[in-house]
Amino acid sequence: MAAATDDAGDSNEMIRVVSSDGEHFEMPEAAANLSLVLRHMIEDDCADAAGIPLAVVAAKPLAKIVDYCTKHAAKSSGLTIEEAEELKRFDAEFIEVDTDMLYDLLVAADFMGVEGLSKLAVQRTADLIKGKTPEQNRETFGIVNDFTPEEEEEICKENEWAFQITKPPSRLC
Amino acid sequence: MDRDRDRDGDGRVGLSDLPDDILACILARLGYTHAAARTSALSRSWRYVWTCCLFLRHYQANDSSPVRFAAHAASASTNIHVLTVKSIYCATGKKRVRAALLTLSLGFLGLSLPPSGVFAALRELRLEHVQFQGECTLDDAMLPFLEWLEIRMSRSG
Repeated sequence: MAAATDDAGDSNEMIRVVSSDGEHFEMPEAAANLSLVLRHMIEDDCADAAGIPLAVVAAKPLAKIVDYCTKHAAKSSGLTIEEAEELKRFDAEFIEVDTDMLYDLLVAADFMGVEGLSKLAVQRTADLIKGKTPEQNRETFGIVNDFTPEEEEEICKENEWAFQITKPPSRLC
Repeated sequence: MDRDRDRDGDGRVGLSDLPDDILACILARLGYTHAAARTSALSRSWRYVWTCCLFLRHYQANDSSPVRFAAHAASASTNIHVLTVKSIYCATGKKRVRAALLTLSLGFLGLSLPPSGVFAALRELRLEHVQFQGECTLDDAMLPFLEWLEIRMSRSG
């Protein structure tokens, strides 16, 4: 990633990408390089004026990803403490999205190979799941309970230890 | 986003429709095995996802149920490549385990190996801090595919 950023320092070329629903976006090459898929396409000279088509990423999440990559590419090396803090704040605000967008970002970041964003979205999802009952999580994420009452009882019995303990002793973890 | 991803067939696309490897990453970030295991009660598509990322850090005196459940989960899912169990209390595998690697760190407790067939697919067995009582026999019938046995920092007594 560092090498990619260095390269980008010399080149101000803009890379065009096209969402699955036909919207065009532009970002600096350094930003595009944060995506493994785009980097490979650029290396293979597939980045032309028509734009790189991203068949499974719609415009809404793609706009967010372009934002994320542009911000992170501009700030990826030799960060001062203040800049690192600012980037952290950016990330925290960036990932304050509804669960539909979170799902789209998880899929798109995974597809495009944007590691930092994948981690951010995964952590955010885990934070939303943490400390909630199954019922609350179903509600948050729109999960339909398709167990029969008997099955549900069986699972709760099978994993009884998991439902009884809220937190193991911290010194052992 | 293309909406052909409705794996659980509930008519909408959501978290449950993510590929298992992404879901496993999410559950691994929950920090505790019991928190991951609780997602087994969400819906059918979630029932065994947590077993892809076993990270047993659950300790409770005289309670081997997480370990037993891990063995059970491992037998229920063929997704697990590595099953690492760290328990300072006890560990007994009573169910058939398909994991290829088992690491047991036992805080100098005794280990009695389960009967033949339980670890039918085990290729690597690593034992740490184990107290061996008397002779410990490992024969081909117990661990037919074992390729690597590692015993570290253990005692005999």
